[in-house]
Amino acid sequence: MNFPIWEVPIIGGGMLIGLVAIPHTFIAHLAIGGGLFLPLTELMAYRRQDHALLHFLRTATRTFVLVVLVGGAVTGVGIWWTIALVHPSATSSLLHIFLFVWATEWVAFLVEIVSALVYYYGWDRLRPDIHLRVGFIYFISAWLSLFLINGILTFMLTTGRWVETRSVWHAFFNPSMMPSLFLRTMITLALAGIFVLIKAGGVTDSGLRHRIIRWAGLWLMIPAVLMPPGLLIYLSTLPPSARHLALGGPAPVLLVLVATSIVLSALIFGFSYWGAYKRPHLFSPPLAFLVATLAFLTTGMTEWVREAIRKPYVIYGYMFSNGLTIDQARRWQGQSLVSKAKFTLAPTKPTNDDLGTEIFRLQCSSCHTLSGYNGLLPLIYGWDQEMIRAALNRLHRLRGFMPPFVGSEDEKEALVHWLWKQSATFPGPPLHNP
Amino acid sequence: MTVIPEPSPIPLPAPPGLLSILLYLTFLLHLIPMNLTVAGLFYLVLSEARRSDDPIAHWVRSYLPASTALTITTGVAPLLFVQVLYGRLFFTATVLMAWSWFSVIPFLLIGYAVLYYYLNRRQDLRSPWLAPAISLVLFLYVAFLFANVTTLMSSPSKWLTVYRSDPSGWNLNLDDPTLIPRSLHLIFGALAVFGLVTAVYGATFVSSDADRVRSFVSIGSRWFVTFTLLNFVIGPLFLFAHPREIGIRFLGTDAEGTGLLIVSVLAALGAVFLTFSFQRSRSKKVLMAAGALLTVTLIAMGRIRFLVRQWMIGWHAPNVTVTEIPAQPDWIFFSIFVIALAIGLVTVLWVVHYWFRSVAEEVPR
Repeated sequence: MNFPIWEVPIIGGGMLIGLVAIPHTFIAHLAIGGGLFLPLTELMAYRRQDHALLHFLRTATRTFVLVVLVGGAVTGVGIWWTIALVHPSATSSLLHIFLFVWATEWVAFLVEIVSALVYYYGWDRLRPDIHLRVGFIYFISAWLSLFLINGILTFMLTTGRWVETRSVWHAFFNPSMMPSLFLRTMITLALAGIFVLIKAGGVTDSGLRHRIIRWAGLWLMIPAVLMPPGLLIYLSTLPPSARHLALGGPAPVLLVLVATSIVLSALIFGFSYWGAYKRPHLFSPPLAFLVATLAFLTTGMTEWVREAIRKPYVIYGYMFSNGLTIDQARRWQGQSLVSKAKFTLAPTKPTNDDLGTEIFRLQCSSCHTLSGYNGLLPLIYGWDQEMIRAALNRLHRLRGFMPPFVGSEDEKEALVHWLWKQSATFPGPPLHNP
Repeated sequence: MTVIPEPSPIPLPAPPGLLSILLYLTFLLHLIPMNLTVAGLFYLVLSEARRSDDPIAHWVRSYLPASTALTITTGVAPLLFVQVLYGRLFFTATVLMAWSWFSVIPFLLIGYAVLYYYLNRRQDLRSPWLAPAISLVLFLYVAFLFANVTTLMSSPSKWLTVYRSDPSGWNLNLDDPTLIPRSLHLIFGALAVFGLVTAVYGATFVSSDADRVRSFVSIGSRWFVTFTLLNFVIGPLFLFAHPREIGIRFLGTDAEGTGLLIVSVLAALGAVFLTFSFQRSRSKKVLMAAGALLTVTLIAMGRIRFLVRQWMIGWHAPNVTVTEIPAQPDWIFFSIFVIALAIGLVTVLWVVHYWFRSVAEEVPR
């Protein structure tokens, strides 16, 4: 309740974060896998004196560096921007815990950017052995960047022993850190393969094209084999309530997303084995784009699920999605929330409606809109005030992914009345009285 | 009740003084590529509009991909330290102008993409000045948004009014009297830095052709002198746009503030003088000395910036000492960062060294 509230209309703050984060995740993973693919294949090409392959790599580097430098860097900064606007308290907490991890990640980022530029402009300019070394430096720094950010990201879901010890070591090496790092590393390889499949479409020499497609297909095979066990290990490290949510529990739509992403992954790997690897001559650019689209959807869905199963927390076991810490929620039980908030819109003598709007902004709006994405009105459509009140009284027990209501009885009543009034304006299906 | 948010219950991972130093150093690092990018784009727009494919424009095009990437990269670190040290002010200010602040991302993305489009397709463009102009305008707007956040975060007494006037997040800090002179001062500063860097670069590295050297040195010096002199007009306006109590601290009532201002003004004047005298002596060392003096100005101005912020915050919220927040230093992770930084910088230098060696081999002197 420290900061002003930014209500993102229609799509809500969570969706906005997703819209920035999902493209970034996709590009950032590609940036790492591609960073391994390029120098490794370059090394192979030097050994075999394959000039055609070297030429292909040179053109691929251009697209790669453009996507990574322009798209990757800016969307990465974009996630930081967006989470700080939607969840300032959580962002501030993460910065306080992980400042020097982040600062170290910045060093990796700096090395990554400089070596990417020199690798790109250094084709034909640097001696081959130096060029290769720069390529591998790029990959190592990019992977280190993943290593560091992954620790922070996984911490938000599996805070582990940090909750008791407050040790940065426990925070960083949290329970899901290693399995997630493994899974993400596999994803980087798969995305590199997909990127090369697309780039291979532009190669006119059919012999070279088939060789590249087969080689790219292989980059998809390794993750195909290793990811399923990795996923099981990852799931086993999640808090039971989060695992319960991921596997259907009280929000069946999440299970649908999990299942769909598994099916899509299977399709991707199917295409790459029977298509790219076994029959490279049949593998066409549209098919490559299809695989890329499937991969993008899978990335989107899995990241979405990861965010969703963290509910009701933004930092598991420490801070709820609306920025209240568990401790605050406990201490302020039954007390006026508006009086604790630094920034309110309500006048000194608020009406019931003013109060209701305020409580909605303070406590609900970081996840819910009124009638847009994750809208409250469709959820309470047809409810009377008694039902809304009953739900607010047991919010945290209702389905496991809601934080408790915090505020005075007056504020609760104001919210009940305000929501009920708003829901009357919501155009839902006809209601039947028995 | 003060409107400034409570400190985070999680203590700072380093003493505020150390964080201030890191903020200061990384901000200075950010200034160099940022100035070269903005001013370089400005130069390109002018040069393309005149359809003159001069050697400076060629040089600017060769460094822009790197300088733009580095502007973003080196901008991350100071922002990180600002958010930890002044998080309570910074996050509040950004949420108050959320949409505008969020728009930094698409503007940066478009400006950057247009820049690459221009660099790759320049030959085919009918109006080649347009693309760099678009990038320049977008980047300048991003800088303007930063100026808005920086001034708004130092004005806590305005926050509640701003929030209530528009809670949807479309606010800017336009009524701040320092906003325009501040932005102009920084932009002119960037153009001046670009001018001197161009002159020094010309005198030091471009040695193959006397005409080329002359154009780098004469145009660069002209830009440096012109924009530095303009800043001697804007600077005082910027200073007097602040509340009187703060302005006079730089004019005698505060020893550090006054000393820093005198040093930076004298150093800038000295750099202008040396640049003039270079026209007669033609000694490379004179230009290098001008560069050193300009660096002194930048270092002193960076510290002035810090003082202005502290004093402005104090002026708006006298009872709150923002930097005195509980700290529980985390020396192990700090050491890891320092070691990583050392390894990282050595690696960068190694990579860049090979790059310049390859360039030197390619261009016969």
